[in-house]
Amino acid sequence: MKSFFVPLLVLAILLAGILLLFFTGPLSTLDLIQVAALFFILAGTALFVADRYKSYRRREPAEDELSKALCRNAASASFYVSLFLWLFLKILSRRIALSTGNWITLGILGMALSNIMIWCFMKWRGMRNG
Amino acid sequence: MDNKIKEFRAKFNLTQQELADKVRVRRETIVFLEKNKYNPSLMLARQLSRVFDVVIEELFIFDEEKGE
Repeated sequence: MKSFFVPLLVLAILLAGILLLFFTGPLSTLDLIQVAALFFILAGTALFVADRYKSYRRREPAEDELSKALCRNAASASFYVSLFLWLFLKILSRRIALSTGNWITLGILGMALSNIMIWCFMKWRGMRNG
Repeated sequence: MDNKIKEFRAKFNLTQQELADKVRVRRETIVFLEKNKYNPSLMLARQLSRVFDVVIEELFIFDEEKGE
């Protein structure tokens, strides 16, 4: 149940974010970047949900040692990526004038995106020494 | 670390799904194992060797030089 509830919650939050962006007047370049990132996150989440749903249909366990290891390794790798991402945004903030809220939004979206991208990469490449 | 899961599965006439059900993992895990994309835990390796009624060393080929 947990493996379905969490992605659904993420989907609901992302959909709310997209709706909010579209109902707050004309979109700027930054808004478009944020919407694009949201769509990528949405696509990744859909992949994750589809993966779990396939297991549910086959009456397999929703999670096993491989799926747990994939999530764990993706989370730890994306943690390090996120550290550098925040550092990069901090340096960038000295050159580009944006509100604090926008920088935080970019950082959070970047963290989510990195987690999903690393998960997809590990799933494709495998994890021999994981 | 290489393994002979695919050969043993064929010998025992099992599908990937049937083997996955026997050791209570997802079919994807068996696919990853057969493609050498994942090294199993000791517990899963033991369960697999029990299904095929062999010792772990017969199912998994350890490379001493590589340390795998």
